[in-house]
Amino acid sequence: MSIEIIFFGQLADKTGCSNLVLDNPGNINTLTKLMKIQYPNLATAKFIIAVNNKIVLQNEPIEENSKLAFMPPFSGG
Amino acid sequence: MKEFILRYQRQITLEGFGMEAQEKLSKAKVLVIGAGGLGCPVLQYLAAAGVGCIGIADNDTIQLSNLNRQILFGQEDIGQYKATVAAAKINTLNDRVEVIAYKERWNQQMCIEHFPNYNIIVDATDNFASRYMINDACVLLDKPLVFGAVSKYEGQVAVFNVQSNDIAVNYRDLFPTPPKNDEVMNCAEGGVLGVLPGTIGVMQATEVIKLITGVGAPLANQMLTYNTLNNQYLTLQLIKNLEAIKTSPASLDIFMQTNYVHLCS
Repeated sequence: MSIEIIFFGQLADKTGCSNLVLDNPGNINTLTKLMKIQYPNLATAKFIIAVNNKIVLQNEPIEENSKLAFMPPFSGG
Repeated sequence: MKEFILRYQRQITLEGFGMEAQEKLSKAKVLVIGAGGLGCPVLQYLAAAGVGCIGIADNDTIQLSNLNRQILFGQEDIGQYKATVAAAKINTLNDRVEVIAYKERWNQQMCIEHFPNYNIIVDATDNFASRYMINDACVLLDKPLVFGAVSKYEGQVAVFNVQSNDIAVNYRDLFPTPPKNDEVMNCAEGGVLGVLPGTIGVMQATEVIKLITGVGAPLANQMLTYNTLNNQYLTLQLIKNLEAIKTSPASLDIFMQTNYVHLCS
């Protein structure tokens, strides 16, 4: 079973992709670690994660077929 | 009175809006900080809609590279102060609006001095130092904040510091500490599609009008994101972040002592 990730803004530049489908790693912490290994540029990036449009601030299980958003701060105006 | 009804006829006629909402607009005071890509459409639509008093804060002068998106300005305005030109332009659009232009660089003292005179603050700035300063001041002074930001082809809109379901989130609940200067590119480095701040600015103006009139449901505790390239809109539900309590200034004294430029570099 898989999950989908959308990388917003400059995170897409850092990963080289705006969408990613991958096997569900089970929880937020494992996913974040995995992403930072796969995309080392993410290690220094600031972002928040939303699961199915809800911001998550702590480690929690990820349900199958979830849609995740990795959202960085934007400064431009 | 006749002119008032004629000018705002299309709004007054609206079901659920009417004279009552129009009068609320004419009594409202809104401060727009930043008269750039976001600020221009915010100012135009708020003036056109009949907001009674509009403050415009920007210490920059108009450059040729601004004109792809800062639609209040023309070539003949290059070199002049944005706040002054914007004030004159929106007064020709609607001379019933009281317009106050601030040409000084906005700082903490000005937040404390001027925020209490306004009902709503609009963040239309282009840097994190200003954004965190404005956010913290709005929390301490209990002012609704309509946030907008852009990056290349994507934008964010949110309403902070407005109660919904007994909570009121602010920018620090999303990002408790500012990114370092080299972590996020600004528009000058990364570029921005000219129409994008137009779209986001119009959304900010819409949220201001909704907050003033009570029409509809504002984006409180939510962040709307828009991607111009694939027309993807996403509305994220925000929550309180305990980390934000530790990183926010706890009092106006601490706020005054905070070096926001240093914090964001």
